[in-house]
Amino acid sequence: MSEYVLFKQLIDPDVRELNHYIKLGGYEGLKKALEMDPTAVVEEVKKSNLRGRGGAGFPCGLKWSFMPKDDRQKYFLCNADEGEPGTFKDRYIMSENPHQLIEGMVIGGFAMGASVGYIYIRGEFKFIADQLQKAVDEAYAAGYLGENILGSGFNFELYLHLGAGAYICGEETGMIQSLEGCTGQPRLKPPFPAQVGVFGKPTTVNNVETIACVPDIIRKGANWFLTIGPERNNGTKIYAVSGHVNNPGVFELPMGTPLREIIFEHAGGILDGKKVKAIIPGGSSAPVLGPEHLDIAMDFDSLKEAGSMLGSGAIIVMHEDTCIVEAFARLADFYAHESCGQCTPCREGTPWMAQIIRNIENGDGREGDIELLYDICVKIIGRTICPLGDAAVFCVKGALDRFRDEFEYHIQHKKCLVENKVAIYG
Amino acid sequence: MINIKIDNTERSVEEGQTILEVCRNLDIEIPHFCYHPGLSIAGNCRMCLVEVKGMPKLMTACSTLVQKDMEVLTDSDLVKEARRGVLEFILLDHPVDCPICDKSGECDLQDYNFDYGIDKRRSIFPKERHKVEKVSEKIYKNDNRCVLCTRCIRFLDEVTETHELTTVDRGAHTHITCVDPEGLDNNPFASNISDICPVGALGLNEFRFQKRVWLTDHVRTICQGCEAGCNLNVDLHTRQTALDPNLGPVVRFISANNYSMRRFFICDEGRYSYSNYNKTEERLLHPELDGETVTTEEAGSFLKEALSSKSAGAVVLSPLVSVEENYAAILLAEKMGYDLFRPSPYRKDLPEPALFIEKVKAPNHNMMKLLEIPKVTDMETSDYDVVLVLHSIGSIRDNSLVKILSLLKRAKYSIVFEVERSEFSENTKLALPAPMFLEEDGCFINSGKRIQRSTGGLGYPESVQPLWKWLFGKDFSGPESLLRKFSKEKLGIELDYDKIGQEGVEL
Repeated sequence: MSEYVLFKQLIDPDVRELNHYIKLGGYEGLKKALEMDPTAVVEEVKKSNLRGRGGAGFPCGLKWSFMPKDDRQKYFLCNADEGEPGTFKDRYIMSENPHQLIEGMVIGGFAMGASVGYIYIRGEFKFIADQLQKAVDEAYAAGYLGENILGSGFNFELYLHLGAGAYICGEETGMIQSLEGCTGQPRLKPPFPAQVGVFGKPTTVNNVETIACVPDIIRKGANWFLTIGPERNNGTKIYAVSGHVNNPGVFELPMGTPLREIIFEHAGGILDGKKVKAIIPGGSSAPVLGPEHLDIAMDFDSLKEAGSMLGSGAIIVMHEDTCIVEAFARLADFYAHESCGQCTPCREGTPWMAQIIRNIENGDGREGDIELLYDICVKIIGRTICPLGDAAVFCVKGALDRFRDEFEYHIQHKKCLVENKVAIYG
Repeated sequence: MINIKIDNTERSVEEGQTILEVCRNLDIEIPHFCYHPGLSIAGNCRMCLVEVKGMPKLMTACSTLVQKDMEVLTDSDLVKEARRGVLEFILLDHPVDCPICDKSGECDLQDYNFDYGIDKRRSIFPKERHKVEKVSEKIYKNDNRCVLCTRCIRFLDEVTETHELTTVDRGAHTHITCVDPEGLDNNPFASNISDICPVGALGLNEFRFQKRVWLTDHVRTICQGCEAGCNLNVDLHTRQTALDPNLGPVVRFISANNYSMRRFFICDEGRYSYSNYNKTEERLLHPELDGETVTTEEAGSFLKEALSSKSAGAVVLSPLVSVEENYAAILLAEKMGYDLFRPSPYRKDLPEPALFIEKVKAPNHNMMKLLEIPKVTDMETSDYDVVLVLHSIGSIRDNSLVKILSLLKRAKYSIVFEVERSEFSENTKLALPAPMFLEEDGCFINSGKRIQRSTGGLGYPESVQPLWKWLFGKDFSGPESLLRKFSKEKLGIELDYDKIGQEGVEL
């Protein structure tokens, strides 16, 4: 078992309390960072190859370096919306090891010259937000937050903000809109948030897991981080495994752990010893993979090569008794439901796709529906304001590419290819 | 200036503009719904997608700034395919009820669909239906036709800052709703949202089911309501059909974009003032001498007699009348040595100045100011034998009115030149019928010292003549020759109707 970078609760179950966190080296990274030059902190993160854990895998240090160096008010936002279907990783950092996130926020704020931070938590996580708030209060009392942190003269205020249950608010500009009190609808880019973000000021948004990696990178140095995981995909990753496995759950493993090891060793193998049929490797927006990909290394570059993406690291496993059409009808419904309704292709295209797939699933599919679905995909992808439309297309097109026979069987025979199929709820 | 390539043609364009603005100036059409020159960029309709070489995706022309050496394709197969895609998405839930839609004929969705759309519906699913709703006294809303471009919302948020409309719900259920119907009733600019709606989703109750727009003639004019000089597109009803025998010649006023003035909207007062030009009961159609209708020849001989009397005369110009007509009167005054005066314009029933509503309620007040014509109330003597008064539809201040009336009553030869019967024509010897502003070409100088042209699309009745014809007959070939003379002699520049163009010239 490798070392735990993020899930320190597995070393000390009480790490959510400040004194336990400090015993494990907590806030050492912050002390070290405050003695450094802010640009040196950014450089250190750049050097560590830390890539965004929210989905896109954008280099974190590079993102931080986009922030202007002037003395405008700047904001550092933490994206804790965790909306991607299948993802349930950030919640355990926030509820079990909250100080690491807080420390990461302060270090990030210091590095970018942002004096205010917001953690945007999805509304359903009210109980987690309460736990996190407790930790924030503790950190304020101990002088890790607020004015003149550790006598360095650096001020950082941290606020929690509860979302109202929209997938689209996990998109950074949608989140910024929501944080401002507006409808959660993504903004047109450019200008990018680093120029015009929340309240019109330069803003950087990072995922919880990304930010939580930062304290240890600063404390132990970028070179230590580079020893974990394959080249350019360094660090550990929290894999959230769900679906037809014996032991679903979250596992912190080095980046690049083979998919087979994650599913069969850590997640306990497939339910009832059945065969794997489909694996979504990175949240529902990642194109689905098949059993031949079981030996793939779970990191950004390997999955990209295989035509999918690591996304948020949420692995959804489906075994041989799953009706793919039914499963993806459910997912297509999700995207249609969550489309913000702002731009035409996504607003109109996602429900149309969902209707067609639902129709096929109901045995009302018609000849040409698959070609029509492909054509709709072409008309959505890359033509929307935000990546939600792209995500819906990745999801649907991935399933069509891999399981076209099953869709065709549904259309021709008006019934499912899979006998004794398992129920999909929702 | 930078060089870019549009559709493989080298162009030199101004930096800092978007691709769409550049193309508009070059007369290259890029279809769009949500972009409006007077509003912020929303980028939500995705209709203006164009190919930019080197970019992985299609770019929205409305939000992408031109850059040095950029290569843009506005008409490639990929771009056309994207337009077809967007149109198909929009039509998924659109009722395609053009036969009963008032926007039909001037609808962007209709036009683009003819150019780029598909002719066969590929969706088999039922369309979502909403009831047509009267959102205010003046405006109805038909959500079925809405393309959610949010122009109306942005107009009310950004221009009037009153926020009556908003979108509600999410995804395909998104629709526009009115959160403040009373506010919309009382908003003096609200009817603009019907103009800027690219489809038939918002319309004016007054125009609903009134007239097919392709049966009207369109002219571009200047609003007569105040000195702001807003540009209007006027729909004229010149071809009577069996369905609308009672419709007046002026069907409606809608706003016309003036990019040089950066003005794209008009006030409701100006918009609904079109009915003033449909009244026929009060119209002065024949010359009248002492209240009796006379022929043009009889009126002409009285005029001749008056002008040969060689006694002191006064000419009262009108800020309600065009540059050309006023200049004809000025030429007369200069020839005869008459004194020139102007009344103070006023209209108390108009709304307070706001946004683009100006205080002075006359379209040509600035001509009077430019030529420094003294006010009629500042007149030192009132002993004039010959008095010529110009007037049009509109009103002037009470003290000016009283002064002019006393002038008319005391003069031996009093002549009034006006459109509608008023106190002036009741108190004059000779009343000459004047063409109204939609009947004769004319220019107006607005508060921004911009001379703009109004086109007379209606033509005047046979018994009516413009003043220059009464006074100078065949000395001038038409109003344009008067304008040429005016600009040369009074402004010191060479101007003609072509030079003034649609957007006017700043003086």
